[in-house]
Amino acid sequence: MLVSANRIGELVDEYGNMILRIAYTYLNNKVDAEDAVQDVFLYILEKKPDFNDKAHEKFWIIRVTINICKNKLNVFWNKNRCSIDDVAEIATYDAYNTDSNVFKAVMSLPEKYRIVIYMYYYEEYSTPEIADLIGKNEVTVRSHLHRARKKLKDLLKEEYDFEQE
Amino acid sequence: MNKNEYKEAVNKIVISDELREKIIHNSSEKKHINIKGIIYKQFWKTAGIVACFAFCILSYYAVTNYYHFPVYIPMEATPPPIQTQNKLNGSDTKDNNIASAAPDIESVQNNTNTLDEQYLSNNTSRAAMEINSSANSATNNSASEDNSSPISGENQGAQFYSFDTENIEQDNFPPVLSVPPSTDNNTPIENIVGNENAGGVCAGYTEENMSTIAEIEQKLGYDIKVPHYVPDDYKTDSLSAPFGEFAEITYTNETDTLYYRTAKDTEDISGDYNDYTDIETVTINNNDVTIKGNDNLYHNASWFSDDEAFSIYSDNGIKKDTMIDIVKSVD
Repeated sequence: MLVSANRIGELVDEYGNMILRIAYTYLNNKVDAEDAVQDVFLYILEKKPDFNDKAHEKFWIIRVTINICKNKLNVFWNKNRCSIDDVAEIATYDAYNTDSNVFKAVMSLPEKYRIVIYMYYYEEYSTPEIADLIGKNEVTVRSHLHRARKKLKDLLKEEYDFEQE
Repeated sequence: MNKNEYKEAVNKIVISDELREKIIHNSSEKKHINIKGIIYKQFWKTAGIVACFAFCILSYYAVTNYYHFPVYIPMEATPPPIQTQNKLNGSDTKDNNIASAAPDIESVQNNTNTLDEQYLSNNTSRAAMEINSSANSATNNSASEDNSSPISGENQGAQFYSFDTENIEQDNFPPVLSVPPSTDNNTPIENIVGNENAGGVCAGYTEENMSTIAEIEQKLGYDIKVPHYVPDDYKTDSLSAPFGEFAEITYTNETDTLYYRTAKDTEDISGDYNDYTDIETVTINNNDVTIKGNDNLYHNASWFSDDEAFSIYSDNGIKKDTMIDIVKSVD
């Protein structure tokens, strides 16, 4: 399945939301996340990859999204600024009006914990698959997941109900 | 419960229609830019190749012209200085002198073809050396107004003039040494050597080639001294006044060539810059004569008398006594 410019519309409909969610989970910023989404599709147009099947296509797009988000986090500007969501008086700012304490608690975690929570609980990937996607060791993924749950438990207290592995 | 609540919250993160349109619009622009980019890259790739070819061709011509440049310009830009002093007197006497020193000019005519071949084969390196010397002197003349050393070949710029003699002929470059008569077998021998009415005697530098000592003196503007003795087997080969700066007489036998030079100068005019192991100074006719050679064969003798410089050069070397006898006979 060769990606062409005419197929971008289909890809946006199919993977646009997923890309945006991963980007937002990583970057915790709506504007940056939308920029990352555009970058992902431009990258797809530039590379015009030939996918074996749907699973391969999805895996490739998720991997590209993660890499682009990591690159954005590593640029000097992102390293030396404070996110608007981190400002105390507007810490409750909810860009997508999710109106969920659980979501806010997850988004308050460091990005390495956020992405494993998203992949594990939303995309329902296994820890080995997550390890492949984010380019880390499986043990590291399990460790991050464990620590993320612990932090969420502290944040949510009695509201916490994330199931164990 | 938390897990479901998280999923519901995440489900609210959706791509807006505005963003969707923007992505699709960008993709169509990107497609257009890609075509432009390909054309742009192809243009610069082609331009780069063309520029490389042009650079190579220009470099070739630049290098070629660089090595020719010093050969032509100094010789054409600096004409030989005109000597106006000591107008010629008693040229007939000197005619007699050369007749005694070289009595067998007609025998030279008989051996012309043989001499031509010997000259060309034996004197190639000598010719290159002389050209170096004279080219240097032309450069020196252009740099100094007093012409105090018009034919002294210093090392300055010598490396520019080291080229083979084949190129000299191809480029019609005027060599300093008089080129022997034409080797064309159809040319009558009388028209080649010894006939003053024959016109162009030599092919390479006809202007400087002379038939008599008187012509040389007329060209130089003063009387010259010549050797009255050369070994019996040496015959007079040519008389010349290269650039009107000095007189040169060559004598040849079957294996060797002698060059006698004289000029109003205070520096060595032999044009021989080889290193020799045997160097002696001998007093002859109250003049200190420096003779140089290797293994008891002497190639070069040079001395000064009053304001004149003299030199004798042998291609293959001659015995010390012979060299001294020749020097003694110069008057």
